[in-house]
Amino acid sequence: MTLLEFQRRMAEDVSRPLTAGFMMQEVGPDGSSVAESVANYVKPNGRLSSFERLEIYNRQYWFRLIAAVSEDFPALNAMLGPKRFDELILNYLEENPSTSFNLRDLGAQLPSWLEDHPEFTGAHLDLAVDVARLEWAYIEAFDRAAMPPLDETDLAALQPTSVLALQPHLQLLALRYAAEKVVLAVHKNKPDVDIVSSAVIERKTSRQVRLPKPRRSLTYLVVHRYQNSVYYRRIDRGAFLLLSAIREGKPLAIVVDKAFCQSGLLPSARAKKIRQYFVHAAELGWLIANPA
Amino acid sequence: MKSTTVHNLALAAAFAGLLGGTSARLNAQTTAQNSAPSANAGLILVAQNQAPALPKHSCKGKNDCKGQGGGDAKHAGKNSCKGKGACATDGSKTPKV
Repeated sequence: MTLLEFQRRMAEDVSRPLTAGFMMQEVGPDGSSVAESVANYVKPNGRLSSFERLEIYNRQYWFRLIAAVSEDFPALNAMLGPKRFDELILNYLEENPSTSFNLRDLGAQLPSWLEDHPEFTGAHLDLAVDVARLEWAYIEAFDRAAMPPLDETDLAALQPTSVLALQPHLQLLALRYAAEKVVLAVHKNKPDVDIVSSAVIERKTSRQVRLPKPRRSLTYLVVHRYQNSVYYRRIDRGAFLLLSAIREGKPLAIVVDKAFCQSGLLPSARAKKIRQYFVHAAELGWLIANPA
Repeated sequence: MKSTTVHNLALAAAFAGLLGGTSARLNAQTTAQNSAPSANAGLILVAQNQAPALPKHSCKGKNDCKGQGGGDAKHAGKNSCKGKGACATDGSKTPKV
């Protein structure tokens, strides 16, 4: 066996999904005995067989991935409970394996994946999906880029046909529940700890948090970064539609019509609202010149 | 004709808002170090710059209370409190000798 063959073989065995009981699988994908094949390239020692020695690495690989995703979704963890959450993450990772050197992206598909897997959330699917979407929005808002906001020079060149853009870190969410109440309750109870021990303590505290039960109601949120902290702000439907149109790359002349496309508001009231939306967005630096 | 007027009114409001908001932001940057907009940013979801809370400790006979607060000005944050329990921050009392 060459070094390359050895590396590929070990990578394949180490990254093979665990059993439902978080142990190494005993039968390979082709039906062969894993213990026999592992014995061909892993030496046993006085206490552990070849299978048991490799199982340590196999389990640690998956525990590290599970921990990495878990750290990004503490509120979902608290909501579902550790047992169901671990099962959910294991199944998610089996269908969405790591494809990047960057563990940061590992949970990116979780909110949409969860929507198609109600078996892990029971009757609380919509709330669980909303919580997952908000927690992922936090990750995006935390580390996506911040561009220079519009300045006087940009404003002077604006036309009705101009296209603006939103800050890359700004996240727009239309939720079915006030999921921020759940996320805030969990973060409020999260102790300040160093990064090494955070995963363990997070899982302990998640079980102890008494979570609010928000009622179903359409909730529009902006999640954004401001002075190195992540904020969320509730916005109304008009502001959500307006900001969404900007994100879609619509010119200003279209954007202002999108905000109240199905509204019975009087023109003067619409104009007042639109002015408020733009004042607020520009004041917080949410708007940038179109990068295209 | 009417819908054109409504559209133009909305467009004018958008430009007025952009101008007003941008001016407010630029003024805030030059005068008050961004303090004005921060109130409008919304509610904080997760603060990044919080100083970590110090753990509660009894300090009794332990040597790990350095930098953890408690005690008088002379002993706070130093290991000279070892064995005395004087700088406990968990509410426990100094042992009677």
